[in-house]
Amino acid sequence: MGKPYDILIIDDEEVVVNATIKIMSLEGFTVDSALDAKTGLEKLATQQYRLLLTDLMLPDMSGYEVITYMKAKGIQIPIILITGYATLDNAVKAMKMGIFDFIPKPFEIEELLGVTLRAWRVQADDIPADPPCPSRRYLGKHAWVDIDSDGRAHIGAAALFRKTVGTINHIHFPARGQEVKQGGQCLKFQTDDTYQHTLWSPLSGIVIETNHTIQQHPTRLKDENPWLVQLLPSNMDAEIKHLTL
Amino acid sequence: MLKLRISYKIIIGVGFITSVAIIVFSYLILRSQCQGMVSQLRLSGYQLSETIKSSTRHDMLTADQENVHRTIDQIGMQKGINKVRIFNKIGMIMYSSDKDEINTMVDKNAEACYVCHAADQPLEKLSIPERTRIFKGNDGHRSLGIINPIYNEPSCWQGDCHAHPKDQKVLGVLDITLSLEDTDRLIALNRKRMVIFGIVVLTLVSVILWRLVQKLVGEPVKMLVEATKVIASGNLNHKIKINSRDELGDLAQAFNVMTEKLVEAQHQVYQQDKLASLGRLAAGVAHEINNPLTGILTYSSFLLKRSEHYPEIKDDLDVIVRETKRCRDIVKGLLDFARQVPSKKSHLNINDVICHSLDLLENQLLLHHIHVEKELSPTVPDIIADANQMEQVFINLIVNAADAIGEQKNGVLRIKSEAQMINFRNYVKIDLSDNGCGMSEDQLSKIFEPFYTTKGQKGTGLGLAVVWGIMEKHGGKIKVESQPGQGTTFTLLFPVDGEQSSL
Repeated sequence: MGKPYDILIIDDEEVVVNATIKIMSLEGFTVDSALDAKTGLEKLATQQYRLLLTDLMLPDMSGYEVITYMKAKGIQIPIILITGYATLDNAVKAMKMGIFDFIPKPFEIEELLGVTLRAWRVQADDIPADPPCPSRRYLGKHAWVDIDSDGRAHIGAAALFRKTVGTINHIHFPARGQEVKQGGQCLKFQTDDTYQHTLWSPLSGIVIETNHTIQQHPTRLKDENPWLVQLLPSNMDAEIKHLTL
Repeated sequence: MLKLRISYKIIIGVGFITSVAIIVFSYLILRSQCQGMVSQLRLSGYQLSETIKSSTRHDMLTADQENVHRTIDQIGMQKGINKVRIFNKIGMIMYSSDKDEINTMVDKNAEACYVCHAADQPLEKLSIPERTRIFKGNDGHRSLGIINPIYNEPSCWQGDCHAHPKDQKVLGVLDITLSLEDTDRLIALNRKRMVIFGIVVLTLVSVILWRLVQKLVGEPVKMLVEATKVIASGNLNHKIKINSRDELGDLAQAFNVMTEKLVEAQHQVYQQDKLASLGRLAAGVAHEINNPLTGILTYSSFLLKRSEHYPEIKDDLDVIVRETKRCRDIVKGLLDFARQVPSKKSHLNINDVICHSLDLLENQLLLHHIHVEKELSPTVPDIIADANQMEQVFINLIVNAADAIGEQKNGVLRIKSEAQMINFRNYVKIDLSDNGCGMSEDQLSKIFEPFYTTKGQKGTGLGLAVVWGIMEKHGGKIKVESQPGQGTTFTLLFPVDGEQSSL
């Protein structure tokens, strides 16, 4: 047995698998692949990986089943779910199940490497959990939302995201009046390693306000845990079920 | 089942009633005419018999039988008089215009005697109608017989010629028989006239009725049936040209209105179907296209990373990456559009929604130097709607107006709300007008279609399609009017109380 692979990717699209292998090689990651869930789970059972990338829709099984299997087996490596845009709701559900993050197809090199590096850093650093707050709900360990008494929602990044994202150069904020979806892109971060990180919105709604201070001083995000976007939620009652305390 | 035209049914019905009426009417007229003529004849017969009685009185008293015979013969010869005869108490014919009968006996049961002798005790006084009888003679014609009793009087029993006992009340009877031939002929003629009159009236009534029914019912109904067939064959633009102001005119008008509504409904169903199937198609296509797109995007951006030292390839690769990202954004927009968020409706005041939307876009409006004129009626009733979706509608429309105004310095956005009553239903009407660049007729016909945009690469072409979908979900209506260079006005109609729109 040679040197173990760093990452396992399970996807039935060969082109996605091959592209991922090439992209990961840019950062020196070694990637093993499986074209269906059955092979993938066999590999997970017999070999050690430090990260799993899996498609949500596999020919023989869903990504959920892979996640459930790993939980049952006690394999605690971070999982990144590859999804299509059509399956935003599924991605949000998977976040609740405890995956590290998801990445919608089609992705760019900078996006894939961004999320992979964040997941990689989880293993290196000991990341403290966010303190519990009664008005705050979390989208996995990714983003949070505070709901005001007047129905407005403030969105921020969770500790796991803030601590793993690296040095932020620039944050792309949504325009006022723009509509965002739950599990859709809310903010985009550019880090000094040229990679991109997307913060998914915990709720759907219309953007009312953005945090100008953070816009001007992106580095403050890391320690201050500020709100980033103010939202007028459009479907809060239904969507809040997918969030955790 | 036998198919009967309405006109025939009406004609048969009316014809039956008319003929019964004519028959009854004719019968009554003929009968009274008949009775009148007979009673007239009776009277004249009675007068005649009185005349004979008085003219033979003297001869009777003087027992001048010759004279009595002559008088009776002469009278009996006149036209219309069949017979004149006198018989005595025991029924022997004393005088008669028919010589053969003289000295013969009359049966007391004969029709001339029967009236008085029906009872055991013969009657002595008779009224005029009782004195007459009608019977059929040997010649086949009807005859009228009149009997006139000859009463005893002092000169009769005091005369010394021949003794009539004093206690005898009736001495004999004068019997005249008149022919009814002429009368009967007249009655028959009248009857014939009545029948001809009846047939003529019946025919006339039928013809007039037939024409009327055909003109008033047959033709319009035929047109309606033809129009129904035309519309059934798919030509919904067909109109019925019936201008009559009766029920069928109303029906035709209602029919025309119905086809108009049908066209509108068809158009809406078409639009809805188009959007729904487009959504399904989009979701399917997007999902399938994502994988190859991932391949293109990752490989091209991978190549781009490795080509930093080859500027001649780098530029070309940049284009591939950029265009692939554009594809991705299109697919993303398509999926956002296809994703249906259920409406969460509540009572809300549309003015609040408008003000809130304007607040949200305040910066953008300031940036474009757009002056906002609000004419919000404070009395507009609440509507039942999803507040977020309503805001989405106004935000989309206001952003479009701002884009249409663009760099123009004197941009004005006018928003007006008012309550309105259309077809007895309450609506809230909102007019949103800008004085921006406006749109051509051709552009107007496409603006609600998904992926149609006038903003080039800046727009997704989904904003107004989403607006249309939201309005549809709320039972509302959206209309647009525009003149190139003049500006654009969007008119929104929301039904109050969430009533289904009937526009």
